[in-house]
Formats: sequence, structure tokens, C-alpha cells
Amino acid sequence: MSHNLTPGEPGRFLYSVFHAHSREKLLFAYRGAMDEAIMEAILGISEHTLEEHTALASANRKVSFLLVECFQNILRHGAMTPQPRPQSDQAMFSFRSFDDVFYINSSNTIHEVDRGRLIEIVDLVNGLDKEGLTALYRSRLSNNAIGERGGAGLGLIELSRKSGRPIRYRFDSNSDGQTLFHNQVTFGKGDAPELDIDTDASDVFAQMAQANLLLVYKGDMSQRSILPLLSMTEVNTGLLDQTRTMRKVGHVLIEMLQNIARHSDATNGQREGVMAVGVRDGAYTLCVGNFVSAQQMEYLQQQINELNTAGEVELKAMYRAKFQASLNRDDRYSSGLGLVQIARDAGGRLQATFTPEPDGRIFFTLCVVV
Amino acid sequence: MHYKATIDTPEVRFDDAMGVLEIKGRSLPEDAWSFYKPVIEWARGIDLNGARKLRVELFLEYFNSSSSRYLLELLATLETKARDRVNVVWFSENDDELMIEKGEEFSGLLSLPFEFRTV
Repeated sequence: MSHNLTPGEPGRFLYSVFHAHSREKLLFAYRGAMDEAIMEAILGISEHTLEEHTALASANRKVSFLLVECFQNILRHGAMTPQPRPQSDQAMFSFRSFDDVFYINSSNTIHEVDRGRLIEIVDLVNGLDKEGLTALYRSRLSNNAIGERGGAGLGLIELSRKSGRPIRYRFDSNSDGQTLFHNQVTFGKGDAPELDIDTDASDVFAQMAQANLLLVYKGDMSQRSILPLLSMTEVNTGLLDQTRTMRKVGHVLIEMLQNIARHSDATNGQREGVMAVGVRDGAYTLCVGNFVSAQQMEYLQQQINELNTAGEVELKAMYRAKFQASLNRDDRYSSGLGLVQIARDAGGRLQATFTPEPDGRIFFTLCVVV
Repeated sequence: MHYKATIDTPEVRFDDAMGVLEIKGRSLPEDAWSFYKPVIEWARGIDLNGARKLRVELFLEYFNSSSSRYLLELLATLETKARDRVNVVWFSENDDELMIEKGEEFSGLLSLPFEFRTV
């Protein structure tokens, strides 16, 4: 099935994400099914980022704990019902890191009857100091005050103890009329600012929902970051189902991500990029974006124009010619096959945008629909 | 020669007694040349004189474009060396049309005999 992208739309979205979150070293936002495999992939992404940024490296274990606890809160308390749509808005999860501050935002549907209990426990926790939290934790543990779904508020108490900051929260309704519980856990050095849970966190999720995106990532695009992203997409999108479309999604995605890692214009030694995965009517939209030089832009424009004017037979012939020519290529680091392979596997047009920046670099986005 | 599979590189194993080179798994290393260089150098140095034959068994779940370049170079090296004593068995999962198509592309560029098997 062939789908066309709305001209420029996903690319513009990626560009706006890149700019709106330019201060973040890492932004990861996800909406869809939640399970332990997704959690593993999220930890893989965050741990690599934290190792790379020394300001938070020592806090790696603590942040991992907070991520797991937030995630398990969704699994434990979410009133989710099975839905075939991977883009379900029943649960959303994001984390982002600035130089020395880390924010985790989770949203999940709850039973309306649990709203009062949640407000009570979060307000109680937020009003306590370190000693008070420890006493409450021990008291809840020893009194065995376990709720129906296995919680005694212990998770929320632990989040507050480990983060050392109040838990921000709010409630609203999703498009299906269900109650959503949003919470934000902040971790970092003393005077780190709080993000506004009503705007900063919600905006990302709202934009993702509007654009039918399941996953948005901004950060390092080295191989160590790419592999957990691929695992994450495999688990969430059903790539593991191994249908022809799913296999194509996997092939195209890894090629797009590695193209960024290989060709992006590094800033301070880091190859930073942005990616998004979306789904609509069974077709997957895959987008990546990164900085390139003016020279690279010229090459990319020429290549993409050539590929977009070729039909299926011509693409096959182009691939074959480039594949054969790769045997005589001097550059050992590049095969020259990436874009043509993406075009063939995607079976459709490559949509590119190039946006010049004041510093002379160009922000390049590439989107395809599989 | 034996390299164990990693998260982004395949297992590569040469069974000298059986005359079988096996490459199995997913191949998506960032730097494919570093990974395949020793395998290609091994192919350049292998003795295929006399009656000695080599069967290359490829069972790849997925490979990136950089890997495809070096897999082709590996097979082209063996072809140049002894095209009449090397054959390729291209394995893929039963319903994995994409990998079968990719195998056919390799076959189309080489004169080595290819056998396609699904499992």
C-alpha cells in the first residue's frame, strides 16, 4: 500500500522539536503499549546518555531507579484496557535531561475512583521532608497497607525520597473520556528549575498525538544509542511480528539512523539528531533529522531528486549499479548505498527538508512512509 | 576463525574440516569495514588448491548497507580465487521475501553458484 506524506509536515515537526528542545541533551517521548521490554529499551537509551554526560554520570543508578519506578507505576496502577492500536493514548512516558537535571513524565489512565486516593498520597508525600518520608515509608511497609493493585503508595514515596523533590501532577481526560493521571519527577542539583507540567510536558504529548507519532527522540545518534531505539521500535510497532511491512520498517529505520550517525555534522564531537516514528492506517512514518554542511546538502539534494524521479525498475538498476561499484570504492567507511536502499525498501518518495541555520549549518530532515 | 555474534554483528565461523564458512545473525555494525576486514583477509589467504572446496552459508536476519558491501567483497574475493570450488547457500526464513530478494541481488552480481534455502 502506498501512502504519501503531507509535504513538509513531519520534517517541519522534527525541526520544531529540535529547536524547542535545543537545551536538552536528551529528549525521549513515547506513547503506546507499555511492558517490561519497552522498559529495558528505555533504560538502555537513558544509561548511555547519562554515561556520556558527566554531570549526571554518577547519578546513573539513581536515575535508572526513578525511571523503573515511574514505569512500574504505570504498569501497576494504570487502568489500561487492551487496544489493538499501538498509538494508544492510555499511557505516555517521557524523559529529558538538561546539563544536570533530569525530568521524567508519565501519564496513564486511572479508574476515576482512584483519583482521590492518588491526590491524598501525592499531597502527603510532597508535604514531608526526608525524615518524614522515611517514617511514612516504614509505616506503610510495616502496616502492610497494600492497595487492590499491589500498591501502598510505596512507589510514590520512593520516587519522592530518591528524587528529593516534590512530585508534580495533574489530571485530565483523553479522547476516549478516560481519566489521565500525569506526574512529573525531577532529579538533579539543588536549584534546578521545575518544568511546567501543564505546558512543557503536555505539549510534547499533544503534538505527538496530533501527528500520530508513537516515539520521538532527540539526542546522541551513535550506535550505542541507536540500538536501544531500534529495539524499542521493534517491540512497540510489532516489528517482531516479522511481516513484510514490519521487516521493511526495521530495514529502513536502521539505515536512516545509521545515515545520521555516519554523515551528520558533529557538534562538540557529538552526532546529535532527532527521530520520530508514527503510524496511521497501518502505514509507518519514519523521520530523522540532523545537521549537515552546505556541501552535504548539495549532494543529498541531488541524490534525493534522482531517486524520487526513478520508478521501481530504475531504482533496482540504480541499486545494482551502486552495489557493484561499491567493490571499487576507496572510502571504506561508506558504501554509497544507504539512500538508494532506503528508497527501495520504502517503496516511495523520500521527503527531505533543508533549513539553513544562522551559524551556516543546515538542518536536514528525511521522512518516508513504509 | 570464529567470531561470536554480538548485538550488532553476526557469528562468523569457519569449519576447516567440513570446508564451511558460516555467517549467521544480524549485521549492522557502525564500522562494517573493521568487522569484515579480517574475514576478507582470511578469504584472500585461504588455500583452495587441489580438490578442496568451500561452502559459504549465509543466514542473515538483517544486514545494513555497509555490511552488504563487504559481504559482496568477501564473496567476490572467493570468486576470484576459485569460482569452481566455492558455492553459496543463502538461508532465509520461510516468509522473509526481503532477504530472499537481497540474496538474489548478490547472486546476480556474482558467478558463484547460489542455492536458496528457507527454514
